[in-house]
Amino acid sequence: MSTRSATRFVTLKSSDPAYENYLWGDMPEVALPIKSYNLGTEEESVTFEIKNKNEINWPGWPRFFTALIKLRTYILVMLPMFFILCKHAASAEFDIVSYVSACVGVLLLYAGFNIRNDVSDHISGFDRVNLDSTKKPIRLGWISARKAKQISNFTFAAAAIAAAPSLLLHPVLTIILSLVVIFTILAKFAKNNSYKNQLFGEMVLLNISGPALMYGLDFSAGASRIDGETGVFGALWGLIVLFIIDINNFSHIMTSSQNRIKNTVTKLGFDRAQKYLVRMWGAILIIWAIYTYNFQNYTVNWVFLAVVTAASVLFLKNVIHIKSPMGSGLKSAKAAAHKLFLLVTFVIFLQSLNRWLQVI
Amino acid sequence: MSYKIYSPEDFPAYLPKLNALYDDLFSGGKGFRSKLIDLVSSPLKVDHKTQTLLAQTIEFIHNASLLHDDLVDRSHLRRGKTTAWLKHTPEYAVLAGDYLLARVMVNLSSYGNIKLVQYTSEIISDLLEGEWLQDSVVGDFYITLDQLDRIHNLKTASLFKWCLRSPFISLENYDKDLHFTLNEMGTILGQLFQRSDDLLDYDVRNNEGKAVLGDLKSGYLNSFGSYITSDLSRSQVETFVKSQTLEQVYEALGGEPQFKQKLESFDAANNKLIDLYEHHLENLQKWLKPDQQDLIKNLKPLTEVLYWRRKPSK
Repeated sequence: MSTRSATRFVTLKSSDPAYENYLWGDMPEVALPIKSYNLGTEEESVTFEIKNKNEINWPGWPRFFTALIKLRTYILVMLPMFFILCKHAASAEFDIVSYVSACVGVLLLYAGFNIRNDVSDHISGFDRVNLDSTKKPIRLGWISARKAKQISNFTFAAAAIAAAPSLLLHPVLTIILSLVVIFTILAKFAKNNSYKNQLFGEMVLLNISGPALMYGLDFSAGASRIDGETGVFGALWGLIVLFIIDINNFSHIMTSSQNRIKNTVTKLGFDRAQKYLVRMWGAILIIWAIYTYNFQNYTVNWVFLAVVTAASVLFLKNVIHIKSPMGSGLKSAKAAAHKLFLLVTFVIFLQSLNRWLQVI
Repeated sequence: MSYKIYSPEDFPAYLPKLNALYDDLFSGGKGFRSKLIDLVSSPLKVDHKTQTLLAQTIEFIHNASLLHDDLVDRSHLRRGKTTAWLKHTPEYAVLAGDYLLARVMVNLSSYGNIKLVQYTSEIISDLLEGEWLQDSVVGDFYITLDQLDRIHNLKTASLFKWCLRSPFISLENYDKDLHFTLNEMGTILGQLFQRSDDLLDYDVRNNEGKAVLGDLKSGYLNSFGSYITSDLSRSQVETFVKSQTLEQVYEALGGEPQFKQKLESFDAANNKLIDLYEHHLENLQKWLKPDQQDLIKNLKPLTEVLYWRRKPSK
């Protein structure tokens, strides 16, 4: 008869002196918090599974790195960069040095933001209570929370250095950056939870990922005034990003509600959140139509918009027909939302490219 | 210790068919949950009257859920007899279940421990949430094991948690760390019990001769079904769920060796849960008085009984 070695566990109260060490990973062994199904309780204890470092399945540096910085989400910042590039590329005012400096800064800042978000989810326990299919390096033991935080601090510092030329060349960027930092800190510390999961945090996220990012890149590229087109496109893009976050929140609606996480979706509840998502996407299409009419009024752009609208109908029917907060319908809707998002980004990419080709 | 869980005097005789319905319902069943109450209460020296109340409470809640479940699932048999909704009417089945839950509240509020009443109400609420969610996923053959675990934590594990915690609450022991540990242990016992029950559907360790593939044929992918289909393509899952015999199940998975490999992997995952249970059991000792340590001996073999379905090895 073969004997198996028992898995090792440690349960600690949050008041235990060793608790922080285990949570932050300041140990020779790897301590992985166990998922909890007992939600909405005053959680004062956490159970950790203890593993030796050689028991962790190391994925290789490329997979580790791409998972750590969430490379597959970089489209959220790179598409606005491409949009602004196409807007300015043929312009005599285009400040390429400043623009590249700002872009590198944003890419590094985004990496730091993603890493810090995962650290926050790990420390707050969000990861322990919610369903998640994505591979999170801290939860898998690939890196400790402490080291992840240190890397994020490094990327923030590197972002500041990389973006410094842009800030020096265009001082107005300092105002935008200051506002972003202030609101980010306010959103972060309001309830000691991740940005995605608070109502105020959602508004901040919409503005950071939309108008703030667009205006920041626009000014860094040499724009001399507040441009209406940039503002409208920024609002559109921010809303699209928020939509993706809300779909993700909807896929956790039950576990988030049980754990008293407050966001738009949990406040609305299952039935009303479904309608909210449909209306939100409808609003996105309307804003896109307004943007196209005012700033990019070409037949080809209306054709693109019609294609996205047609694809949206199928997706929205998918959302409305979800029957359960615990079934596979949620995962399907989330996957469909991401596909629709990719279509939208592809269309915007083509529109931007078309704009550039027209002027060169 | 045996408990008179049900007595006709507990229910009004002037309501037609009510006592006949309960006669059928309470005459079967293994009474596992009331046995669990005994295993926990005896080392804690809970008095007999309170133990009887706790045993009756849990059996009333459990049987109320069975009455509702059978109607929701449109089952025809329960414990070898025609189900209540079919033998009488669906309306009577619903009301009889509701009446049991109401009786629980009457009995507990007479007992006078408000925290026990509060906790029991939470558990009933969890149970109903679990049943609602389970109904919402019927016909969903792509549900994940994690999602099913959350449903089972509400529907099945909640009663196991109650059995572990209520004797302590009846003694007015509300220590948070103790109840955290009991909660985690109850969750694990509930998961293991449910997973073992789900294995019976695939004729694994099926000593009680449960009907094979009953869940699948009813449109429900249980925890083991979800586990073994997790890496299949959509078309493979579609073939799997149409299986009418075990041979067809093996074929859909790529052969019986594949089935056995997945079963081994499932058992390994559950062995990890058993290790976690042992860890919490070890921690439990900290909160017990010296004369209560027999509780550890009583609770230790439960994983072997519930998951492996065998008498505990000495």
